[in-house]
Amino acid sequence: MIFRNLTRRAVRSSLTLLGIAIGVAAVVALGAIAEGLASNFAVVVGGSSNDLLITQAEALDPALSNLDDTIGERLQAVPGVERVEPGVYTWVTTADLPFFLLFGYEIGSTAMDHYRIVEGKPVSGPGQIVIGRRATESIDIAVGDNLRIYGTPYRVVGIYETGQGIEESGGVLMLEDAQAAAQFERKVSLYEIGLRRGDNVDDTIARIESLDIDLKVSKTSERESNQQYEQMLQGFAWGIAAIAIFIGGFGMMNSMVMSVLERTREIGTLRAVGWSRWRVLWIILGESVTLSALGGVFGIFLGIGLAKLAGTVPGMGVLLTGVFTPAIFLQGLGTALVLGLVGGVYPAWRAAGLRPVEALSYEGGTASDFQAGKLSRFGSQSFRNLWRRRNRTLLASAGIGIGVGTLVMLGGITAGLIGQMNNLAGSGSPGNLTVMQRDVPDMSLSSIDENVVRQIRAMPQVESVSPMVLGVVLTPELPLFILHGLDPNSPAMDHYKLAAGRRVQRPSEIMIGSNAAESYNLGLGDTLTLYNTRYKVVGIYETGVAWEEGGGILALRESQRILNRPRNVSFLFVDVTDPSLALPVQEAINQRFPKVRASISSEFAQNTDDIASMQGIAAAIGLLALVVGGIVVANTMIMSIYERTREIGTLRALGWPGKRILSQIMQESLLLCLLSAIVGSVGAVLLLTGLAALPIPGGAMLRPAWEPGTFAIAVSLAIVLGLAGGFYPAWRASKLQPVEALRYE
Amino acid sequence: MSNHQPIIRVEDLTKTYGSGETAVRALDELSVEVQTGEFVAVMGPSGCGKSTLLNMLGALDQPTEGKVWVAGEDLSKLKNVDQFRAKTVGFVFQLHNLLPTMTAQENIEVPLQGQIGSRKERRERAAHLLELVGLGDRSHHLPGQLSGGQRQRVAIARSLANSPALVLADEPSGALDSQSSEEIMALLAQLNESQGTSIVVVTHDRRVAQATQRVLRMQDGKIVSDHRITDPIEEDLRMFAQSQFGQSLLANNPSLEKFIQERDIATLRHLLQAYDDQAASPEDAGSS
Repeated sequence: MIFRNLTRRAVRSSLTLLGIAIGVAAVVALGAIAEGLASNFAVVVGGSSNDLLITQAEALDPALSNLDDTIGERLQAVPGVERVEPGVYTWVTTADLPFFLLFGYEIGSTAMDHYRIVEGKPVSGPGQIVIGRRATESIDIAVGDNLRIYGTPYRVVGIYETGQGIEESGGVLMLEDAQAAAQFERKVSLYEIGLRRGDNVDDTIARIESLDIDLKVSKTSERESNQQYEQMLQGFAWGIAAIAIFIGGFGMMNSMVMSVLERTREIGTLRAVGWSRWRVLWIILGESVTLSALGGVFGIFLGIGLAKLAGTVPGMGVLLTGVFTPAIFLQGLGTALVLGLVGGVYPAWRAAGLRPVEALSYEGGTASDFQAGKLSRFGSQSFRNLWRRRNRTLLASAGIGIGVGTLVMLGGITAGLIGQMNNLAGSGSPGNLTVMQRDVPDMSLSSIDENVVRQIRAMPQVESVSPMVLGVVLTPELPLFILHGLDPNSPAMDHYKLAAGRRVQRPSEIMIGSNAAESYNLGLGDTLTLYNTRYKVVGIYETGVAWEEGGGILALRESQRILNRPRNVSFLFVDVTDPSLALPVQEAINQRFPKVRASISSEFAQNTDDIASMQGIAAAIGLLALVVGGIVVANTMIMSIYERTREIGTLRALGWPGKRILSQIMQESLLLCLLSAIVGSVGAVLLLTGLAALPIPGGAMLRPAWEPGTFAIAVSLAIVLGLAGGFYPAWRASKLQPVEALRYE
Repeated sequence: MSNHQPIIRVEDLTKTYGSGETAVRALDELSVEVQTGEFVAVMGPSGCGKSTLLNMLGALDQPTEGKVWVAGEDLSKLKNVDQFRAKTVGFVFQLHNLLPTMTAQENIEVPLQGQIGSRKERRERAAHLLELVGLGDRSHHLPGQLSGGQRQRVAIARSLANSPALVLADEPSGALDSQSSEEIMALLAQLNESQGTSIVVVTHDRRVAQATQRVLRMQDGKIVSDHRITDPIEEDLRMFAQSQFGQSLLANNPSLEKFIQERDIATLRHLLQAYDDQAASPEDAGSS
């Protein structure tokens, strides 16, 4: 009996341990990856041996910075400046890598030296590229091979290292090549400045800043990335960590509650022989701490392993490289300890508070523990067995439901995003096309030359072309303001229904969306400052698309000016003369202009890489939910069959075959999971609907769309969970020897 | 009883638990036969092997050595053990072991599942059995809503579900008060008589054994006595004289012998009451 008790506890203990470990692993791995994202981005182009870095003042990140290449001469004239080296820094998509960083510098510059050649030779002319060590690991390319960027082949002449993962997953071209590849004509991303020794650095910085209001100067040694951007990345990291703590933490707590609940009888015995409530608690506390700490340590190693594994994913790996800080380990361990304690102590406190008689009869296998209730004679045996332990069922459903719910929420948000993007300006009639730059990893990076606009406009089947510039403004006053630059007379303007006022007529005027008006408390006649320029609000529009309504519209030329994108736009909305011509025109544009991609407007979103990344994140969280949920299911079902060992023995003695027992337990497990899927789905819908209704700037951006597919995924997930988590307990139950099972107390 | 095929035949049955020095011989080359239609009690102290024997008869456990035939079937050669458990034998447990989530009627249907295809027939059969044990009005009650005696009646009805040739009952009244206990034994005796079902009851209560026709006494895995009950008082006295308690009482009070020989009913009742009280004391009332 003692031996059996021990092995029984061993299985339960290791399951609890596993539950905790997976929760901690999720916290650690996701935390490290998020931290890595935040810190990696901050150090890109920070390690140069030049002294100063100059970027566009309000650009979130050097990759989003645009500076005129004539500024270089003016910089050179500033006293104290010895070297001025322009640089291009952008993200591109190549055949094999969704995120490939491209750098462009002048040949032989100090900036170029930052990329230390370890194989081959440096870039010495046009058509040449050196690529980072990590890039060679993901795309199987060597010195002498060709790499195609937007259709143009570049010969790989060397391989470099910088010691910085993100930099090493990119490539370096000569400046002119990079400008061409990134469509940066007569523009650069940044300037690196070498100072004359002996001069006062701060004076020189002041002189440069007085040169142009649009410049931001930072020392390369202490480069600060844009605070808003930093905050956004941090927020993202925290969001992911919160989801991990939520899903993982609930799994942990669940494991702990189950393991203590199971011992209610034992606790009753201790109380019956005279132990005080506190003494019982103290013992359980000790065990919970031990279990949590063990699980926590195990989980940290598991988390490190997971993060390392994520870092090896081809292409995406570099973005997922984890950075491990003591804070992350503490976060994981702390979550385990706190939640483990709460999960352990609460049921122990309750059990120790029961009268010993009650506690002793807790799982005696007698009939009296099934209280007759309204639902006790309703439904199948599977349902009744779940009803019999409704608290436990509720607990398990919540544990599984959180995972399922997170997935449903992400699904709803993604579907909502797709729906909104497909309703962007220009999708008024079915014959519309949306054109953006091909192969850019983020929509805000899309860039199309105005020559292309003119040529498309000249095509015979095209009725009109509305070019639009898109910019994102993140300032303390305007967190997440989407700036649209659109010609006031363009047909796409019809998309923006005026709720008040009139359309923009002068460069100094702006129309804002109804959400923006509400969030920032702006009305007609008020002024709004963007990039140091003041604009008067002349109109308020509605479109039904959250982020359009959360932004504003400037005249096309004016927005090009303040965003520093002359002769260049983000999107084109093309109207064809006859809807039936939409497809042929789309093909013609794609064929004639290899640098852009035209999509039927209603299918536009599915073609963007933004949505693909979002779906990738959803899949990763789904996987996490699956693992945690599986543990919760297995835990619950194992506990349930232990409790019912005698019943199962009875059924066997009465002639039920093992197979029938197996199918009964599987049914129960499936039912539990379906229940959880319903709980999770309903919870997710309610939560998102509630969040979207909150009067916060971000809240209005959440416009979830509920598609049957999302719920189908939730239900399939539940079925997989039920099958996976229920199989082992069911199999065990079916293999129970009747004699031993009947003797089981 | 005129049927000459034995319902149970056990030959040199040995069951050993564990191995080496810690090995325990629960059954030691035990042989016995029970005729079809007999109502037999197996008695003996805790750990004498009586429950083990019952488990062997119900094909719940495998013998270490020896053979068991039930209703002419060699249990070591059973092709479908589940079928045998469902059809050939019916089990009544000490703690009734009803499924708490099922109503009385559904509990009775458990062994019928897989035996009778149609749900309607299963229901009718279960309802009939509930009538048989006098609980026709309780069919939709959950076990938690029934008294101890009623639960055990449901358990007996369940054991009869597939009209088994043999019912095996392990301390069927062990958890009941004396009145319910008598009722249960009377029910079993009545079923034995009316249905002709062979019944083997394991018990350590002489009053339970009295309701049967034949008593097998076991000790250390062997049958030490086997006799038919003719006179209940005679049976009681034999039991009393053979018990440790009785022997020590007789040794210390030689005068008691006289009462026994003279069959002084009042004194004997008094003696047997003392014996029952002793048998019901905690250290002896442990599980079998």
